[in-house]
Amino acid sequence: MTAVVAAVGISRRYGPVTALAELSLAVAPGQILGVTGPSGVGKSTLLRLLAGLERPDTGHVAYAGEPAWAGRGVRYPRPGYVMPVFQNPTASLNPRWPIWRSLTEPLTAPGRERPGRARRRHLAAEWLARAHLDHIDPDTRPGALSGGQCQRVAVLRALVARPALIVADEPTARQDVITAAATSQLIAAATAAGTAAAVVVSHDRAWLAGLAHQIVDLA
Amino acid sequence: MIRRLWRHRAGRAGLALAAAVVLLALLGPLAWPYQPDLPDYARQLTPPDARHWLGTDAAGRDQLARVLAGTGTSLTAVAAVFALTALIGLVVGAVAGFLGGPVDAVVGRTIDVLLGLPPQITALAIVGALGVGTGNLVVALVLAGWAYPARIARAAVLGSHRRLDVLAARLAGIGRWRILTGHVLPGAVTTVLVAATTTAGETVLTLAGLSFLGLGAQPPAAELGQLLADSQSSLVSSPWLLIGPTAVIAAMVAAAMLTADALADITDPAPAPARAGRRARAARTGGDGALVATGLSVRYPDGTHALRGVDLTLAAGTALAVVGESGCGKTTLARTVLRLLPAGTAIGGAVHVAGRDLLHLDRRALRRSRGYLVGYVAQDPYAACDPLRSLGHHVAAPWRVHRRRPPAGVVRDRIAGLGIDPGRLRDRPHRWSGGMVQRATIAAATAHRPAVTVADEPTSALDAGLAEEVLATLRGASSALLLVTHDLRLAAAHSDRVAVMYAGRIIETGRSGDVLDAPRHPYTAALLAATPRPDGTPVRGLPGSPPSLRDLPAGCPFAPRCDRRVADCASREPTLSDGVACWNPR
Amino acid sequence: MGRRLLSPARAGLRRLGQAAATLLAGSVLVWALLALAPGDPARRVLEAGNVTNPTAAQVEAKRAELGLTGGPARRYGRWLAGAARGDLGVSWVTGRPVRDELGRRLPATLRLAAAAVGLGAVAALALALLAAAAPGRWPDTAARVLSTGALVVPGFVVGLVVLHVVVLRGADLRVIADGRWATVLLPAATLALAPAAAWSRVLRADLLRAAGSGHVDVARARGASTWWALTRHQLPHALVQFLTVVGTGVAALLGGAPVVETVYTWPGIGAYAVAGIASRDLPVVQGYALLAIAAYVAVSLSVDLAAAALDPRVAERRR
Repeated sequence: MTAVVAAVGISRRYGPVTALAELSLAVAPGQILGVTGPSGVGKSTLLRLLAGLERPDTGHVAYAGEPAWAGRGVRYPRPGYVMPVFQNPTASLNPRWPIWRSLTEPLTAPGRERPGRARRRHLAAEWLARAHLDHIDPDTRPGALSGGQCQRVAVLRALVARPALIVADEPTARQDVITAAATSQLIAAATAAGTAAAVVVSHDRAWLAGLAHQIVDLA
Repeated sequence: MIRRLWRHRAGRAGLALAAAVVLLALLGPLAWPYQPDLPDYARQLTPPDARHWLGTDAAGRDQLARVLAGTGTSLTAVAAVFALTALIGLVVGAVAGFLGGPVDAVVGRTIDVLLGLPPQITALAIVGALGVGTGNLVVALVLAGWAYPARIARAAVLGSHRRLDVLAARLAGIGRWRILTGHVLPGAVTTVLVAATTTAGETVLTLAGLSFLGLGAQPPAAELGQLLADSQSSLVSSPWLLIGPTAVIAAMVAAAMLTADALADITDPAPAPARAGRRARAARTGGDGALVATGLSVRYPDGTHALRGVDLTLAAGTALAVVGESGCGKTTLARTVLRLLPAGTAIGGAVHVAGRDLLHLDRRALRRSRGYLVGYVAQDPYAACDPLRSLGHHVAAPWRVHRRRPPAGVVRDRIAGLGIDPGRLRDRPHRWSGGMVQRATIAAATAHRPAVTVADEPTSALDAGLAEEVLATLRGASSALLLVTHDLRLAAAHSDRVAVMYAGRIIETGRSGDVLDAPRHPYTAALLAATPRPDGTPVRGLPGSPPSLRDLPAGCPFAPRCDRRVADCASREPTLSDGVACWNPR
Repeated sequence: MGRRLLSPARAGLRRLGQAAATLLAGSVLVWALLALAPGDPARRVLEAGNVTNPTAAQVEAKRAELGLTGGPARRYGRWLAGAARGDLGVSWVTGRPVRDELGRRLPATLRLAAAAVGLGAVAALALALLAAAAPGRWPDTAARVLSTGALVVPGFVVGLVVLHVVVLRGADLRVIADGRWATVLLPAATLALAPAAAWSRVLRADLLRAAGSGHVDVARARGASTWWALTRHQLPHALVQFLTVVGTGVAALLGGAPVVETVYTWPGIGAYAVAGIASRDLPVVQGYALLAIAAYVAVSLSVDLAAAALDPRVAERRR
């Protein structure tokens, strides 16, 4: 089986600071890889490199066996191949948009079905219901939601894209245990079908232990 | 946007003032019978009367007619400057930010350099070269003023590369152009409008000032600043000539300021500071125990009923953990005991610490008691320390704030006792590790051996391994500890008793071991299932969200998320009996 | 950690370079005014020298003398070299060197500006501390009403009222404004009014923002009084920003100076420049603008360097 994402000897420096020393890893479909370690060891840098948000200084990243940085920019096998979940849930949703719009934005990418407005609201409500969030009105703006609710919407937004790889950077750092549990359930359910893989960074080892199939300690 | 402005108090005042000035300029000249430029040498400098409401000027012209005409001239000029600076700024800034590369480098430098020049001087110099006249004044002000909105627009577009919602859209495969129009520009337009409105008041004043100097509209045309200049020679005898032009200028500036303030408010969702208010009457009952709260209720100025009748007792020498989801009221409980609630919050019930009625201490007594009755350990140790002051300063602060000297050697001993190297006390907090800083804040909080130490999520900013150590330190240093946390497992390990909160009430309380081993309330059980275990058992979430504390429905607030619901749950809210508030406990 | 960190020396040098670039750009702008202005400078200078109907040869000679021949780059280079030596050309009205005209009036303006900055900063500090000590109560409201009034009414109107209605009506004979320290109070207070109001608002907001930070909560929980927290914990954090705001506020003072000087007939360079604009005496306008821009760039440079030196976090973060 081809790895969803493979990294060979990747490293990254910011000026004189080495953010990530050489590292290699591969994640197979359906797998959840946990990444932990003290602050400043390059957990977030690793995620940004795996997500193709930054180009590694050395080494290669490959998606489904194809090199990610072939030409000038990053190349994904398809739109929404990698989807992110961030530490700050409120900032990861557009504050001006009702959540149905953020939630279904991945569907409007080129080559996707590009549903109309009414259809998008309907789909958003469906996704919310699937995550037991049917009490949230799809027309709400992120400012009116709690951080925990925003985080669950942000995870759902990632899932709507039907990603091959979910990268989550400290998704529970500012959340209470209930939100953290809901987040890990959503990620686990998405990978259980075998279509998606996930790389999850967290400093909460106990929480990670309950979610990941394998844990890398970047100490 | 206009609708939201209208709902804001200052915004409504600003819009109304602006509308009034515009109407004055448009309709005033039609409604008022006198001509602005028709001299009447028989009626020079008459004081205001029934015919000439603002009197007449040195040439016998009706001052109100001149003010109305002048308002039109000034308003047109200000509107032109506003529209042109905003438009040029937005286009130049956004295009540069979007294109990036050498174009952006050149534009960015130009903007920086222009912003380094004093705008009024630049405008003055340009008018000096172009010659006087309203049109030239507008050109000068636009040339001197477009850089500020341009910088704002450029920053909004450039900064969007790091915005999380934009990153997510990029990964989802959304194209650059649609990201620009969907995510970036709407925000940039708003910020540019706010920036342009902020400077509009200044534009009015600069325009008036330059016209006053004779650099704007030329006679016989009327302009507000020029009217003021005209009246200068007859002011000693006819000071009323100042009234009209000044009032209109002030109204225009005030309209711009109020609207800008309101715009900044409604586009920045940070909560407004609470206003002063009164506190509800509280029952007076005594108590034993280090901390006794009876019937405690707290309602914030925005209507959030954060505590709805909380009773708890913390015995001396013990630790009580208050546990619950975000928004359950646990932090409010901590801040009530600390008396750090925002002004205008209504507090009911009573809190006694070491027998003293905490809610009825006057300001002076409260200040004197602080640090002696209740000590406070905050969530983020770095935020709890003034970054400008050394760690040693923070350890000695409990004495200094009460204008006492720390007893000789005591600071050093306490520091050493907490495992901190005394040689590094002069270092500022950010050069220490989080665990060390938190230990120092614990030392400071417990310096006077307060009857109760309140700790609000003291370890959530620390790594898991450190949390255990810090909690042990905290426990050892406190005579009685009120520990607020969302982590039930951690709480139980470091406390004698646990109180679980939901929707502003305690729904289960008991000995820590008992609650951990055999939770009786379904919510406690759910909380436990959601808490990670060291052995890696998968956690289970809890569907739904906690209810809004502004308007709670009848019945048990947990019922909508509960899997043990019975008929009673929808109609009546259970109260705490035998340590649990549930109609169908486990 | 994506940002590159600069050493303090490099950051200082960088800021210095920025100031130099701004000054250079300002000089280009001032020089370009000549191109914007209608009319032939050589003719104007000749007319100023009482040659009413100059011959073509005379104009040509004057043009060469004024350095108005050759391409724009050469003309600018000559002009800049002259300006750097202090040669700002001759007034088109009096025919005298602009340097002498400005130099004679500069001390009066410096006195006015210094007094205004001092008065304004002290007033703003007092007003903001008063307001921030009791947010929402009457001292705060009073300070807000006062500062709003000072912001919406043009400073020169206040000057007009003071001068014509209060002082001149008082009718006792005395010198109101002669450019010396003894008479600086009224014009300086007038000039400082609006900037002081703006500064006090910024400082109040910063003080209250600092009050919302965790360490002030902690200090209050330990028993710190409002005043203690305000002066020991809030003010130090707000002070650096205050310094910067006052520094940029010098721009407002410079911009307001011509108006206030005109109202009070204060014999400074601002009033002189205004007269220069009215009489289309471009070299005077250029000289004044160049001087004001240089002063402004120098002030904001020193304020920025001082702020970096004052805030230890800026210095230590760079290690």
